[in-house]
Amino acid sequence: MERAGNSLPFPRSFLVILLLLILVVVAAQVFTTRYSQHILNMFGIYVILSLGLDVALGWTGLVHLAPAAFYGMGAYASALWVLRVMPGVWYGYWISLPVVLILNAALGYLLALPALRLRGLYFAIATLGFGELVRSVLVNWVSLTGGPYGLKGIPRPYVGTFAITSTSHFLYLIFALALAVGVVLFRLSRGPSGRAWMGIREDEIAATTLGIDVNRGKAEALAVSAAISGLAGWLFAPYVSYLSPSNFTLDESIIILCMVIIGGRGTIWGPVVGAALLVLAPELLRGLAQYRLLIYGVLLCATMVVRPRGLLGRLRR
Amino acid sequence: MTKSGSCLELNGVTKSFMGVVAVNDVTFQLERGEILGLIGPNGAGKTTLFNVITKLSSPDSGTIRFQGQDITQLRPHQVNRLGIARTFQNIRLLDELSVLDNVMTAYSPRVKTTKIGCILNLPAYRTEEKTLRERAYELLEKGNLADKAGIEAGSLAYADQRRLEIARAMATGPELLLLDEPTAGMSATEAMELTEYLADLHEIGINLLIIGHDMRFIMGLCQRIVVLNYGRIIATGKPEDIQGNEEVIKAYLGGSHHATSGRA
Ligand SMILES: Nc1ncnc2c1ncn2[C@@H]1O[C@H](COP(=O)(O)OP(=O)(O)OP(=O)(O)O)[C@@H](O)[C@H]1O
Ligand SMILES: [Mg+2]
Repeated sequence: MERAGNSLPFPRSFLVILLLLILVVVAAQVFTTRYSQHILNMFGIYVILSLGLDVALGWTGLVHLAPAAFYGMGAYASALWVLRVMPGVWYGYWISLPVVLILNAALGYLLALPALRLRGLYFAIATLGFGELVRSVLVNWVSLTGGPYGLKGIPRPYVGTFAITSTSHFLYLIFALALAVGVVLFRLSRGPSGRAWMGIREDEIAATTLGIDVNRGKAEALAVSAAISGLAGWLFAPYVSYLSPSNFTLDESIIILCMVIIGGRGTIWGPVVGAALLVLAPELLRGLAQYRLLIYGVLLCATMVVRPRGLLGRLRR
Repeated sequence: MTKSGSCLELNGVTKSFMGVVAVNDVTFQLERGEILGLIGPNGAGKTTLFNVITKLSSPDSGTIRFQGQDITQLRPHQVNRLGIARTFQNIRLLDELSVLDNVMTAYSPRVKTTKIGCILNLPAYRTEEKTLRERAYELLEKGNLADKAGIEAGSLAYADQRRLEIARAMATGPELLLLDEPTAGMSATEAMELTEYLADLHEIGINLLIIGHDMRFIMGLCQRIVVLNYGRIIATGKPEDIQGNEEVIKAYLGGSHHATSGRA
């Protein structure tokens, strides 16, 4: 972008990307224990999840309460693809990526069709129902998903003969993709799609009289959001190598929701900060682990009172 | 397309809300190149008529044609894409977006480059964005808003908000612009400036249908006026004819409220 004050011979966003890449490499050197790297990895996965939710929630104003369902679908689809569809083939995992993205986008779009007839709270309830539906499929379709016992022995991904096994390998993979998601969303947010979605959020009626197909815009936003949530699942499955329906419950959706709201809806950096805060807070307050959701609740309430638009949201009104 | 010279043609349009007939068997035409005024006492059904034309609400009966094409069954965004844009009596800006982005949003359904082009920041996309941004600035310039391009639309002064809404509507490239009380809340000077601006739009070929309470503004700008009362057309004609029309005078005096209090 050619803005005043940019005397660099390349767009400023390159500089930001470069700095973030360096930051990831440095972080991987500084945090050397498996435990601290695991925290970082979960942070990266939650960055993707909260960025994905924000497209629906923060940009388009859709109260989408089932990001964990799309996260779970991505994870299970990725695992089942590797275990059942292309077992023992090193590139199976990589082929499952477009499969997961397309599947999730399609389901996000499909969820939108009936749900968009509903406004506000009713839409939120419809997404809750969808979340519950996905969870009960994961629990009850035992022959496919292993039911409540989950899926075990999800193989590590390979690149040729090189196995991505250690937490630090995953660290690079996860953060490379988190960064990619951030860049894609940054671009979209500055472009026509982002503007249309935010227009819908600000005032549906005004948007429709500007020629914006509101239903289609919402469906697209939900599809993009679902695909990104699926990407997080695709990363999560081989990383933990064991999936259970309990990873993808309403609690999980609420946590992602808190990250977005506390960090700041409709901003790229807000969900990142929210994810950092909510991943770190329980670690810092380890003695209170069983109060995890309670801590989130308190943080959420405090944010709503002090900064209703989130930590990185602009003040005003 | 019929050969009819009309830009907009309403035929027996009726719309009622739970027993209240807000628009009752309304038939009129807006000819090409015309500035048509729509007046009437509070609650006469003017805004409802705009909502019906832009398909924000569907008429119970009657047909609406735009440049010969029947638009009665279309959805609001389709009506806009055919070339009808509007503003709102109670102003509907995208409050948290910048003034510039309010206008840019109006281009979003009409851009040629795809999401992929946007994500990859391809040259074609950048060129298009640049062109659109220049056009948006031109529109803002005409509305005296260029220096406020970066601020949130919701924090603009009232008159600025009205002008931004018109600029945004113009960004959709309309052939017909519907303005619902564009001078409401404006000072006399601001209203004068707006009159000139609208006359300029008319010069470049935009057809205008304007609701107004401010008689001097409407009489000065419009070539022809339609008067509504209790949902019905009670008079149509040149400003000077309307001024002397007894039924119109009675409607306004009987309506008791001259107030410009606004409602959606
Ligand atoms: N959505 C609605 N539901 C019920 N009644 C409505 C609705 N919209 C308008 N009305 C009624 O229809 C009638 C016409 O209202 P409308 O807003 O079109 O009048 P108006 O001519 O624009 O008046 P004003 O000059 O005050 O803006 C009024 O009696 C109003 O109460
Ligand atoms: Mg009105």
